Amino acid sequence: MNERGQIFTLDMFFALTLTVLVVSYSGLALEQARRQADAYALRYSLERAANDAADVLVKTLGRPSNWEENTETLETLGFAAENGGKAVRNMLEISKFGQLRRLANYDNWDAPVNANAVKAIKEFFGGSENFEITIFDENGNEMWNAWPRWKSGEKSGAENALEVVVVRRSVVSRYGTVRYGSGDLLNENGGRTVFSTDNFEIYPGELEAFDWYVILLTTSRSGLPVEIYVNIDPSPPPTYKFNPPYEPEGDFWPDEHGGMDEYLNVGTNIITAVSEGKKNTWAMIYLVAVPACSLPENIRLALSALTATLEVKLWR
Amino acid sequence: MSFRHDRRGFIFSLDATLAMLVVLIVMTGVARMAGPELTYGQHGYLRLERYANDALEVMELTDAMNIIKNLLAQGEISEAGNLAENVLRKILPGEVQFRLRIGVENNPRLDNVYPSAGEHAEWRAAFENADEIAVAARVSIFPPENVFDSITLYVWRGAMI
Repeated sequence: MNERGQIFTLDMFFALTLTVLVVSYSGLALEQARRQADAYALRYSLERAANDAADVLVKTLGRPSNWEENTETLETLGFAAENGGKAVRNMLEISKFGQLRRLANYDNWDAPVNANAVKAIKEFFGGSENFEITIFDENGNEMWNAWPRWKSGEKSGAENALEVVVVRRSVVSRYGTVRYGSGDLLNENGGRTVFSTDNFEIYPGELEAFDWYVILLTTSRSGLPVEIYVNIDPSPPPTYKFNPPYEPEGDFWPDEHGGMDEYLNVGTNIITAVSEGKKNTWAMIYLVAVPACSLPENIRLALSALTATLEVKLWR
Repeated sequence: MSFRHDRRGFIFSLDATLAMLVVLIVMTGVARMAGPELTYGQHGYLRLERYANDALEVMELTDAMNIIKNLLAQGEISEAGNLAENVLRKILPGEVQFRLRIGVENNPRLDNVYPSAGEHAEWRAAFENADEIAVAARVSIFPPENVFDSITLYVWRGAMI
Protein backbone atom coordinates (compact mmCIF):
# COMPACT_ATOMS: atom_id res chain seq x y z
CA MET A 1 0.00 0.00 0.00
CA ASN A 2 1.38 3.40 -0.94
CA GLU A 3 1.27 5.68 2.10
CA ARG A 4 1.60 8.99 0.18
CA GLY A 5 -1.47 11.13 -0.39
CA GLN A 6 -3.35 10.42 -3.59
CA ILE A 7 -2.67 13.90 -4.92
CA PHE A 8 0.99 13.02 -5.36
CA THR A 9 0.42 10.00 -7.61
CA LEU A 10 1.78 10.25 -11.13
CA ASP A 11 -1.60 9.34 -12.57
CA MET A 12 -3.25 12.15 -10.69
CA PHE A 13 -0.55 14.56 -11.85
CA PHE A 14 -1.15 13.60 -15.50
CA ALA A 15 -4.87 13.77 -14.99
CA LEU A 16 -4.69 17.26 -13.52
CA THR A 17 -2.35 18.48 -16.24
CA LEU A 18 -4.63 17.15 -18.93
CA THR A 19 -7.69 18.56 -17.23
CA VAL A 20 -6.09 21.99 -17.08
CA LEU A 21 -5.14 21.73 -20.75
CA VAL A 22 -8.62 20.60 -21.77
CA VAL A 23 -10.29 23.37 -19.80
CA SER A 24 -7.93 25.97 -21.26
CA TYR A 25 -8.39 24.81 -24.84
CA SER A 26 -12.13 24.51 -24.33
CA GLY A 27 -12.20 28.10 -23.20
CA LEU A 28 -10.15 29.19 -26.20
CA ALA A 29 -12.29 27.15 -28.58
CA LEU A 30 -15.49 28.53 -27.11
CA GLU A 31 -14.14 32.06 -27.38
CA GLN A 32 -13.21 31.42 -31.02
CA ALA A 33 -16.62 29.91 -31.70
CA ARG A 34 -18.28 32.90 -30.08
CA ARG A 35 -16.24 35.30 -32.19
CA GLN A 36 -17.06 33.39 -35.34
CA ALA A 37 -20.72 33.37 -34.41
CA ASP A 38 -20.59 37.14 -33.89
CA ALA A 39 -18.81 37.64 -37.21
CA TYR A 40 -21.35 35.39 -38.88
CA ALA A 41 -24.25 37.31 -37.37
CA LEU A 42 -22.74 40.62 -38.50
CA ARG A 43 -22.01 39.31 -41.97
CA TYR A 44 -25.47 37.78 -42.21
CA SER A 45 -27.17 41.02 -41.20
CA LEU A 46 -25.05 42.99 -43.67
CA GLU A 47 -25.85 40.56 -46.49
CA ARG A 48 -29.49 40.57 -45.55
CA ALA A 49 -29.67 44.36 -45.33
CA ALA A 50 -27.98 44.79 -48.74
CA ASN A 51 -30.14 42.18 -50.45
CA ASP A 52 -33.35 43.50 -48.94
CA ALA A 53 -32.45 47.13 -49.69
CA ALA A 54 -31.71 46.33 -53.35
CA ASP A 55 -34.94 44.35 -53.60
CA VAL A 56 -37.04 47.16 -52.16
CA LEU A 57 -35.34 49.75 -54.36
CA VAL A 58 -36.04 47.95 -57.63
CA LYS A 59 -39.52 46.67 -56.77
CA THR A 60 -41.28 49.48 -54.93
CA LEU A 61 -42.23 53.10 -55.48
CA GLY A 62 -41.14 54.08 -51.99
CA ARG A 63 -43.37 55.71 -49.41
CA PRO A 64 -45.10 57.96 -50.21
CA SER A 65 -45.21 56.74 -53.79
CA ASN A 66 -44.43 60.22 -55.13
CA TRP A 67 -41.76 61.08 -52.57
CA GLU A 68 -39.53 62.56 -55.25
CA GLU A 69 -41.96 65.49 -55.60
CA ASN A 70 -41.42 66.48 -51.99
CA THR A 71 -38.48 64.79 -50.34
CA GLU A 72 -39.43 66.17 -46.91
CA THR A 73 -42.18 63.54 -46.87
CA LEU A 74 -39.84 60.64 -47.54
CA GLU A 75 -40.46 57.63 -45.30
CA THR A 76 -39.06 54.73 -47.32
CA LEU A 77 -36.86 54.73 -50.40
CA GLY A 78 -37.99 53.08 -53.62
CA PHE A 79 -36.84 53.70 -57.20
CA ALA A 80 -39.41 51.76 -59.23
CA ALA A 81 -41.30 53.57 -61.97
CA GLU A 82 -45.05 53.88 -61.71
CA ASN A 83 -47.70 52.69 -64.14
CA GLY A 84 -51.35 53.05 -63.22
CA GLY A 85 -50.53 53.59 -59.57
CA LYS A 86 -48.49 50.40 -59.34
CA ALA A 87 -44.77 49.87 -59.30
CA VAL A 88 -43.16 48.49 -62.45
CA ARG A 89 -40.68 46.02 -61.07
CA ASN A 90 -37.09 46.42 -62.26
CA MET A 91 -37.90 49.65 -64.11
CA LEU A 92 -36.07 52.57 -62.48
CA GLU A 93 -37.50 56.06 -62.24
CA ILE A 94 -34.45 58.24 -62.58
CA SER A 95 -36.15 61.26 -61.02
CA LYS A 96 -36.25 59.29 -57.74
CA PHE A 97 -32.62 58.32 -57.94
CA GLY A 98 -31.75 61.92 -58.84
CA GLN A 99 -33.43 63.19 -55.69
CA LEU A 100 -31.57 60.67 -53.55
CA ARG A 101 -28.37 61.81 -55.19
CA ARG A 102 -29.17 65.42 -54.37
CA LEU A 103 -29.98 64.61 -50.73
CA ALA A 104 -26.77 62.60 -50.34
CA ASN A 105 -24.60 65.34 -51.78
CA TYR A 106 -21.91 66.86 -49.53
CA ASP A 107 -23.79 70.15 -49.23
CA ASN A 108 -27.17 68.62 -48.45
CA TRP A 109 -26.65 65.53 -46.29
CA ASP A 110 -26.14 67.47 -43.06
CA ALA A 111 -28.46 70.37 -43.88
CA PRO A 112 -31.22 70.72 -41.25
CA VAL A 113 -33.85 71.15 -43.97
CA ASN A 114 -33.17 67.59 -45.15
CA ALA A 115 -33.02 66.04 -41.68
CA ASN A 116 -36.22 63.98 -42.04
CA ALA A 117 -35.32 62.63 -45.46
CA VAL A 118 -31.76 61.80 -44.37
CA LYS A 119 -33.11 60.01 -41.29
CA ALA A 120 -35.41 57.94 -43.50
CA ILE A 121 -32.55 57.06 -45.85
CA LYS A 122 -30.30 56.02 -42.97
CA GLU A 123 -33.04 53.89 -41.45
CA PHE A 124 -33.51 52.24 -44.82
CA PHE A 125 -29.90 51.07 -44.64
CA GLY A 126 -30.17 49.85 -41.06
CA GLY A 127 -29.21 53.15 -39.47
CA SER A 128 -25.87 53.22 -41.26
CA GLU A 129 -24.21 55.82 -43.45
CA ASN A 130 -21.95 53.19 -44.96
CA PHE A 131 -23.73 52.68 -48.26
CA GLU A 132 -23.21 53.49 -51.89
CA ILE A 133 -25.62 53.18 -54.80
CA THR A 134 -24.30 53.04 -58.36
CA ILE A 135 -26.00 52.64 -61.71
CA PHE A 136 -24.04 51.05 -64.55
CA ASP A 137 -24.99 50.93 -68.21
CA GLU A 138 -25.24 47.65 -70.12
CA ASN A 139 -21.52 47.75 -70.92
CA GLY A 140 -20.61 48.07 -67.24
CA ASN A 141 -19.74 51.77 -67.42
CA GLU A 142 -20.68 53.78 -64.38
CA MET A 143 -23.44 56.28 -65.09
CA TRP A 144 -24.14 57.73 -61.64
CA ASN A 145 -23.43 56.96 -58.03
CA ALA A 146 -24.32 58.39 -54.67
CA TRP A 147 -23.23 57.94 -51.08
CA PRO A 148 -23.59 60.13 -47.99
CA ARG A 149 -21.68 63.39 -48.48
CA TRP A 150 -20.55 62.41 -51.95
CA LYS A 151 -18.36 64.81 -53.86
CA SER A 152 -17.35 64.68 -57.48
CA GLY A 153 -14.02 62.88 -57.93
CA GLU A 154 -14.00 61.32 -54.47
CA LYS A 155 -14.63 57.75 -53.31
CA SER A 156 -17.12 56.47 -50.78
CA GLY A 157 -14.60 54.71 -48.52
CA ALA A 158 -15.94 51.21 -49.18
CA GLU A 159 -12.53 50.28 -50.57
CA ASN A 160 -11.00 50.64 -47.08
CA ALA A 161 -13.70 48.71 -45.23
CA LEU A 162 -12.98 45.31 -43.69
CA GLU A 163 -16.26 43.84 -44.80
CA VAL A 164 -18.21 44.91 -47.87
CA VAL A 165 -21.36 43.41 -49.37
CA VAL A 166 -22.20 44.19 -52.98
CA VAL A 167 -25.58 43.34 -54.47
CA ARG A 168 -26.32 43.86 -58.14
CA ARG A 169 -29.74 43.87 -59.74
CA SER A 170 -30.54 43.97 -63.44
CA VAL A 171 -32.91 46.78 -64.27
CA VAL A 172 -34.26 48.87 -67.09
CA SER A 173 -33.66 52.57 -66.91
CA ARG A 174 -33.79 55.70 -68.98
CA TYR A 175 -30.86 58.07 -68.99
CA GLY A 176 -33.19 60.72 -67.69
CA THR A 177 -36.81 61.47 -67.03
CA VAL A 178 -39.05 63.02 -69.69
CA ARG A 179 -40.88 65.89 -67.98
CA TYR A 180 -42.65 67.16 -71.08
CA GLY A 181 -43.35 65.71 -74.51
CA SER A 182 -45.10 67.75 -77.15
CA GLY A 183 -46.27 64.90 -79.36
CA ASP A 184 -46.31 65.51 -83.14
CA LEU A 185 -46.34 69.23 -83.96
CA LEU A 186 -47.37 69.36 -87.61
CA ASN A 187 -46.64 72.49 -89.59
CA GLU A 188 -49.36 72.05 -92.21
CA ASN A 189 -48.95 75.27 -94.11
CA GLY A 190 -45.29 75.99 -93.66
CA GLY A 191 -43.77 79.21 -92.36
CA ARG A 192 -44.00 80.54 -88.81
CA THR A 193 -46.51 78.44 -86.85
CA VAL A 194 -47.01 78.93 -83.12
CA PHE A 195 -48.16 75.77 -81.36
CA SER A 196 -50.16 75.70 -78.17
CA THR A 197 -48.50 76.50 -74.87
CA ASP A 198 -48.10 73.62 -72.42
CA ASN A 199 -47.29 73.36 -68.73
CA PHE A 200 -44.81 71.21 -66.89
CA GLU A 201 -43.94 71.01 -63.21
CA ILE A 202 -40.60 71.25 -61.46
CA TYR A 203 -40.66 70.04 -57.87
CA PRO A 204 -38.61 71.41 -54.95
CA GLY A 205 -34.97 70.37 -55.18
CA GLU A 206 -35.20 69.25 -58.79
CA LEU A 207 -33.38 72.24 -60.25
CA GLU A 208 -30.40 71.25 -58.14
CA ALA A 209 -30.83 67.51 -58.57
CA PHE A 210 -31.03 67.52 -62.37
CA ASP A 211 -29.66 69.09 -65.50
CA TRP A 212 -32.41 70.07 -67.90
CA TYR A 213 -32.33 69.75 -71.68
CA VAL A 214 -34.65 70.26 -74.62
CA ILE A 215 -34.49 67.57 -77.31
CA LEU A 216 -35.85 68.26 -80.77
CA LEU A 217 -36.79 65.61 -83.32
CA THR A 218 -37.84 66.78 -86.78
CA THR A 219 -38.72 65.25 -90.14
CA SER A 220 -35.63 66.51 -91.88
CA ARG A 221 -33.71 69.71 -92.49
CA SER A 222 -36.90 71.16 -93.98
CA GLY A 223 -38.49 71.03 -90.52
CA LEU A 224 -36.07 73.64 -89.19
CA PRO A 225 -35.75 76.16 -87.71
CA VAL A 226 -37.74 75.52 -84.52
CA GLU A 227 -37.91 78.03 -81.69
CA ILE A 228 -38.47 77.20 -78.02
CA TYR A 229 -39.97 79.68 -75.58
CA VAL A 230 -39.69 78.77 -71.91
CA ASN A 231 -41.65 80.85 -69.40
CA ILE A 232 -42.00 83.73 -71.88
CA ASP A 233 -44.51 84.71 -74.55
CA PRO A 234 -43.83 83.24 -77.99
CA SER A 235 -42.49 86.37 -79.60
CA PRO A 236 -38.84 86.77 -80.55
CA PRO A 237 -36.24 86.51 -79.25
CA PRO A 238 -36.85 82.88 -78.26
CA THR A 239 -35.26 81.09 -75.33
CA TYR A 240 -33.46 78.99 -77.93
CA LYS A 241 -33.65 78.49 -81.67
CA PHE A 242 -32.75 75.17 -83.30
CA ASN A 243 -31.16 76.04 -86.62
CA PRO A 244 -29.69 73.79 -89.33
CA PRO A 245 -27.68 71.60 -89.65
CA TYR A 246 -30.23 68.86 -89.15
CA GLU A 247 -29.35 66.15 -86.61
CA PRO A 248 -30.99 62.85 -87.68
CA GLU A 249 -30.75 61.44 -84.15
CA GLY A 250 -32.25 64.59 -82.67
CA ASP A 251 -30.76 67.90 -81.63
CA PHE A 252 -30.55 69.10 -78.07
CA TRP A 253 -29.94 72.27 -76.08
CA PRO A 254 -27.98 73.38 -74.04
CA ASP A 255 -24.58 71.91 -74.88
CA GLU A 256 -23.39 72.04 -71.28
CA HIS A 257 -25.04 70.88 -68.10
CA GLY A 258 -26.80 73.55 -66.06
CA GLY A 259 -27.33 75.77 -69.09
CA MET A 260 -31.11 75.82 -68.75
CA ASP A 261 -31.35 76.58 -65.05
CA GLU A 262 -31.78 80.34 -65.48
CA TYR A 263 -34.92 79.84 -67.58
CA LEU A 264 -36.71 77.48 -65.18
CA ASN A 265 -38.34 77.84 -61.80
CA VAL A 266 -39.77 75.55 -59.15
CA GLY A 267 -43.50 75.05 -59.67
CA THR A 268 -45.42 75.41 -62.92
CA ASN A 269 -43.43 76.33 -66.03
CA ILE A 270 -44.72 76.99 -69.52
CA ILE A 271 -43.23 76.02 -72.86
CA THR A 272 -44.19 76.98 -76.40
CA ALA A 273 -42.77 75.69 -79.66
CA VAL A 274 -42.73 77.66 -82.89
CA SER A 275 -41.90 76.06 -86.20
CA GLU A 276 -40.51 78.00 -89.14
CA GLY A 277 -40.11 74.87 -91.21
CA LYS A 278 -41.57 74.05 -94.60
CA LYS A 279 -45.05 72.76 -95.37
CA ASN A 280 -46.10 69.39 -93.89
CA THR A 281 -43.08 69.03 -91.65
CA TRP A 282 -43.33 67.92 -88.06
CA ALA A 283 -41.38 68.47 -84.89
CA MET A 284 -41.37 66.77 -81.50
CA ILE A 285 -40.11 68.54 -78.42
CA TYR A 286 -39.06 66.82 -75.19
CA LEU A 287 -37.94 68.41 -71.97
CA VAL A 288 -35.78 65.91 -70.12
CA ALA A 289 -34.10 65.96 -66.73
CA VAL A 290 -30.95 63.92 -66.12
CA PRO A 291 -29.10 63.60 -62.81
CA ALA A 292 -26.82 66.61 -62.31
CA CYS A 293 -23.44 66.59 -64.07
CA SER A 294 -24.36 63.81 -66.51
CA LEU A 295 -22.66 63.72 -69.89
CA PRO A 296 -24.56 65.97 -72.36
CA GLU A 297 -23.71 63.71 -75.32
CA ASN A 298 -25.84 60.96 -73.73
CA ILE A 299 -28.94 63.12 -73.34
CA ARG A 300 -30.75 61.60 -76.30
CA LEU A 301 -30.63 58.23 -74.49
CA ALA A 302 -33.26 59.67 -72.13
CA LEU A 303 -35.88 58.86 -74.76
CA SER A 304 -35.28 55.11 -74.79
CA ALA A 305 -35.24 52.38 -72.17
CA LEU A 306 -31.79 50.92 -71.49
CA THR A 307 -30.64 47.76 -69.79
CA ALA A 308 -28.70 48.76 -66.69
CA THR A 309 -27.45 47.45 -63.36
CA LEU A 310 -28.24 48.86 -59.95
CA GLU A 311 -25.51 48.16 -57.43
CA VAL A 312 -26.01 48.51 -53.68
CA LYS A 313 -22.88 48.43 -51.57
CA LEU A 314 -22.94 48.22 -47.77
CA TRP A 315 -19.94 47.97 -45.50
CA ARG A 316 -18.68 48.04 -41.94
CA MET B 1 -15.55 3.95 -11.38
CA SER B 2 -13.68 3.94 -8.10
CA PHE B 3 -10.19 5.27 -7.53
CA ARG B 4 -9.77 2.72 -4.79
CA HIS B 5 -9.98 -0.34 -7.07
CA ASP B 6 -8.87 1.12 -10.40
CA ARG B 7 -5.31 2.25 -10.34
CA ARG B 8 -5.37 3.85 -13.81
CA GLY B 9 -5.86 7.60 -14.10
CA PHE B 10 -9.30 8.87 -15.00
CA ILE B 11 -8.05 10.51 -18.15
CA PHE B 12 -7.00 7.19 -19.65
CA SER B 13 -10.40 5.56 -19.24
CA LEU B 14 -12.54 4.71 -22.28
CA ASP B 15 -15.42 6.76 -20.89
CA ALA B 16 -13.30 9.88 -20.67
CA THR B 17 -11.91 9.36 -24.17
CA LEU B 18 -15.42 9.01 -25.59
CA ALA B 19 -16.59 12.05 -23.66
CA MET B 20 -13.67 14.06 -25.02
CA LEU B 21 -14.50 12.95 -28.55
CA VAL B 22 -18.08 14.08 -28.15
CA VAL B 23 -16.96 17.44 -26.76
CA LEU B 24 -14.52 17.92 -29.65
CA ILE B 25 -17.15 17.02 -32.26
CA VAL B 26 -19.61 19.49 -30.75
CA MET B 27 -16.99 22.24 -30.62
CA THR B 28 -15.93 21.61 -34.20
CA GLY B 29 -19.56 21.75 -35.26
CA VAL B 30 -20.10 25.06 -33.50
CA ALA B 31 -16.99 26.49 -35.11
CA ARG B 32 -18.00 25.28 -38.57
CA MET B 33 -21.51 26.62 -38.16
CA ALA B 34 -20.17 30.14 -38.12
CA GLY B 35 -17.95 29.68 -41.17
CA PRO B 36 -18.09 31.97 -44.22
CA GLU B 37 -19.26 29.17 -46.51
CA LEU B 38 -22.57 29.05 -44.64
CA THR B 39 -23.10 32.77 -45.24
CA TYR B 40 -22.48 32.18 -48.94
CA GLY B 41 -24.76 29.15 -48.91
CA GLN B 42 -27.60 31.25 -47.58
CA HIS B 43 -27.15 34.36 -49.69
CA GLY B 44 -25.38 33.02 -52.78
CA TYR B 45 -28.46 31.10 -53.82
CA LEU B 46 -30.69 34.08 -53.08
CA ARG B 47 -28.58 36.15 -55.45
CA LEU B 48 -28.67 33.51 -58.16
CA GLU B 49 -32.43 33.30 -57.88
CA ARG B 50 -32.71 37.08 -58.15
CA TYR B 51 -30.38 37.19 -61.16
CA ALA B 52 -32.71 34.75 -62.91
CA ASN B 53 -35.91 36.59 -62.05
CA ASP B 54 -34.42 39.98 -62.88
CA ALA B 55 -33.27 38.70 -66.27
CA LEU B 56 -36.76 37.55 -67.25
CA GLU B 57 -38.25 40.79 -65.95
CA VAL B 58 -35.80 42.91 -67.95
CA MET B 59 -36.43 40.84 -71.09
CA GLU B 60 -40.13 41.62 -70.73
CA LEU B 61 -39.57 45.33 -70.07
CA THR B 62 -37.23 45.83 -73.02
CA ASP B 63 -39.67 44.00 -75.31
CA ALA B 64 -36.98 41.43 -76.14
CA MET B 65 -39.29 38.61 -75.05
CA ASN B 66 -42.06 39.80 -77.37
CA ILE B 67 -39.64 39.89 -80.29
CA ILE B 68 -38.45 36.36 -79.43
CA LYS B 69 -42.05 35.13 -79.25
CA ASN B 70 -42.84 36.67 -82.63
CA LEU B 71 -39.73 35.13 -84.18
CA LEU B 72 -40.79 31.75 -82.83
CA ALA B 73 -44.27 32.26 -84.25
CA GLN B 74 -42.69 32.89 -87.66
CA GLY B 75 -40.63 29.72 -87.36
CA GLU B 76 -37.34 31.58 -87.07
CA ILE B 77 -36.04 29.42 -84.25
CA SER B 78 -32.35 30.12 -84.83
CA GLU B 79 -32.84 33.91 -84.84
CA ALA B 80 -34.92 33.69 -81.67
CA GLY B 81 -32.19 31.65 -80.00
CA ASN B 82 -29.47 34.09 -81.05
CA LEU B 83 -31.44 37.07 -79.79
CA ALA B 84 -32.18 35.40 -76.45
CA GLU B 85 -28.53 34.45 -76.08
CA ASN B 86 -27.30 38.00 -76.78
CA VAL B 87 -29.86 39.64 -74.52
CA LEU B 88 -29.23 37.30 -71.60
CA ARG B 89 -25.46 37.61 -71.99
CA LYS B 90 -25.83 41.39 -71.62
CA ILE B 91 -28.16 41.19 -68.63
CA LEU B 92 -26.43 38.53 -66.54
CA PRO B 93 -23.00 38.95 -64.95
CA GLY B 94 -20.08 37.16 -66.62
CA GLU B 95 -19.72 34.54 -63.88
CA VAL B 96 -23.37 33.51 -64.16
CA GLN B 97 -24.20 31.03 -66.92
CA PHE B 98 -27.67 30.23 -68.16
CA ARG B 99 -29.96 27.92 -70.05
CA LEU B 100 -33.25 29.20 -71.45
CA ARG B 101 -36.14 27.02 -72.46
CA ILE B 102 -39.45 28.19 -73.89
CA GLY B 103 -42.24 25.63 -73.78
CA VAL B 104 -42.58 22.33 -71.99
CA GLU B 105 -39.59 20.05 -71.41
CA ASN B 106 -40.58 17.27 -73.81
CA ASN B 107 -41.79 19.53 -76.61
CA PRO B 108 -40.14 22.95 -76.31
CA ARG B 109 -40.57 25.83 -78.72
CA LEU B 110 -36.99 26.86 -77.98
CA ASP B 111 -34.39 25.10 -75.85
CA ASN B 112 -30.70 24.91 -75.17
CA VAL B 113 -30.07 28.63 -75.32
CA TYR B 114 -26.69 28.86 -73.62
CA PRO B 115 -24.18 31.74 -73.24
CA SER B 116 -22.38 30.76 -76.45
CA ALA B 117 -23.65 29.03 -79.55
CA GLY B 118 -22.46 25.72 -81.00
CA GLU B 119 -21.17 24.01 -77.86
CA HIS B 120 -24.37 22.46 -76.62
CA ALA B 121 -22.80 19.24 -75.36
CA GLU B 122 -20.28 21.10 -73.19
CA TRP B 123 -22.90 23.51 -71.89
CA ARG B 124 -25.31 20.68 -71.20
CA ALA B 125 -22.60 18.95 -69.16
CA ALA B 126 -21.83 22.17 -67.28
CA PHE B 127 -25.54 22.62 -66.56
CA GLU B 128 -25.96 19.07 -65.31
CA ASN B 129 -22.83 19.24 -63.14
CA ALA B 130 -23.51 22.68 -61.65
CA ASP B 131 -23.35 22.77 -57.85
CA GLU B 132 -26.50 24.80 -57.53
CA ILE B 133 -29.00 26.00 -60.07
CA ALA B 134 -31.61 28.71 -59.61
CA VAL B 135 -34.72 28.70 -61.76
CA ALA B 136 -37.06 31.50 -62.77
CA ALA B 137 -40.22 30.81 -64.71
CA ARG B 138 -42.97 32.84 -66.32
CA VAL B 139 -46.13 31.87 -68.15
CA SER B 140 -46.92 33.85 -71.26
CA ILE B 141 -49.29 33.87 -74.21
CA PHE B 142 -47.72 32.77 -77.48
CA PRO B 143 -48.85 33.77 -80.97
CA PRO B 144 -50.26 32.85 -83.40
CA GLU B 145 -52.52 30.37 -81.59
CA ASN B 146 -52.50 32.50 -78.40
CA VAL B 147 -51.94 29.64 -76.00
CA PHE B 148 -50.20 29.71 -72.64
CA ASP B 149 -46.70 28.36 -72.43
CA SER B 150 -43.84 28.57 -69.98
CA ILE B 151 -40.54 30.41 -70.15
CA THR B 152 -37.91 28.84 -67.91
CA LEU B 153 -34.50 30.28 -67.17
CA TYR B 154 -31.88 28.25 -65.30
CA VAL B 155 -28.79 30.03 -63.98
CA TRP B 156 -25.70 28.77 -62.23
CA ARG B 157 -22.22 29.97 -61.35
CA GLY B 158 -19.44 28.75 -63.57
CA ALA B 159 -16.78 29.61 -66.10
CA MET B 160 -17.49 30.48 -69.73
CA ILE B 161 -16.87 27.64 -72.17
